[in-house]
Amino acid sequence: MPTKIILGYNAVPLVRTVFFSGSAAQNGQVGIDFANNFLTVDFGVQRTERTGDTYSYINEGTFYRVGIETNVLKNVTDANSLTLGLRYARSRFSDEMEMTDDFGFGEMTINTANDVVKSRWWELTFGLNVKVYKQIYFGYLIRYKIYKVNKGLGELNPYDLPGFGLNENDTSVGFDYYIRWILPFGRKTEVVEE
Amino acid sequence: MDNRIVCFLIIIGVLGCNEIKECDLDDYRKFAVIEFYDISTGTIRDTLIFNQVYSIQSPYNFADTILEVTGLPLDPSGDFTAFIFETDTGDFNLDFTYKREFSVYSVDCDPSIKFYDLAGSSTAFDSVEIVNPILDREEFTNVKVYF
Repeated sequence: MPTKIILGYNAVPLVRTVFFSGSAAQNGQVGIDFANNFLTVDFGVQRTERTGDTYSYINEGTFYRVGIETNVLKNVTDANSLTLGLRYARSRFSDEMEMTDDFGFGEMTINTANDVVKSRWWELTFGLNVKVYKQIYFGYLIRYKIYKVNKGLGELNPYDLPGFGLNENDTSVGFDYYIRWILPFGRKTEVVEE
Repeated sequence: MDNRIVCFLIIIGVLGCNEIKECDLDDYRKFAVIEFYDISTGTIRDTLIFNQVYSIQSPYNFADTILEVTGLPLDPSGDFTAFIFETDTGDFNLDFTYKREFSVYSVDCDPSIKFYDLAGSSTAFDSVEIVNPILDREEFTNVKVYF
């Protein structure tokens, strides 16, 4: 039986949103435990806008990840954990590029877009989660993303894949820092009155 | 966990997100490289004199003298570019069809355009041979024209 509910918020996209122009993203997660494992669902939204001297590129979409993490620490107190995991991820997004230049045919503006692209990949994860105060935990998660597949591509080759990283790479490494609220669930301590 | 390992993993992650590319190293070219051959001898023609070489889609005159090889741009706004090689005795046409793929090569560079599946035809030259249907740096010459 599950004993905990996990609510997590990824601080890395927030930092990017605040400190880096052209990027806006949010990423959260929910999960439950069973035995020494965690069933986790991540979900996120991402919008990136990149501009150069001759072009502008916008990518906007959502993603989710579902997977299991196993706590390799035994006999730990609280919900501290050192985890290894596997996740399946999907992303759905659109992107568009407008470029203006003289390619030998006079200055022209070219617009190209993908209305709906679907991507999927797998992730191997390694994470650490430590209690900092009551039910609040901080922890990081390193993701090694593999077996990426894109569907629905047209003439525009996407620069980013929401949740994955740069599309030109077949594999990617991600670093996330989670603030988690871990709530006891189901099992209650019985108080024996004398 | 040892803090040094955590710091190392963070640094690797940050460096991995900041790859810097040289714009000149984009694999794809925006022009097709054409060589002209003598159909009777099969040898490359050293110098060709034209009144002008132009495309009906372009306001520019691309060449008047061609020394062995020339590069002609392809129109990225469509999948077809037609060239006219004008001489005193008549005009020679050279038509290309192709597919395009656009991408952001690097945020600091101009977008990359990949022209591929290049096909060529002419009603005036004797034959047009496509030797490399992708405008990349793998093989310099894309088209051999015989007349």
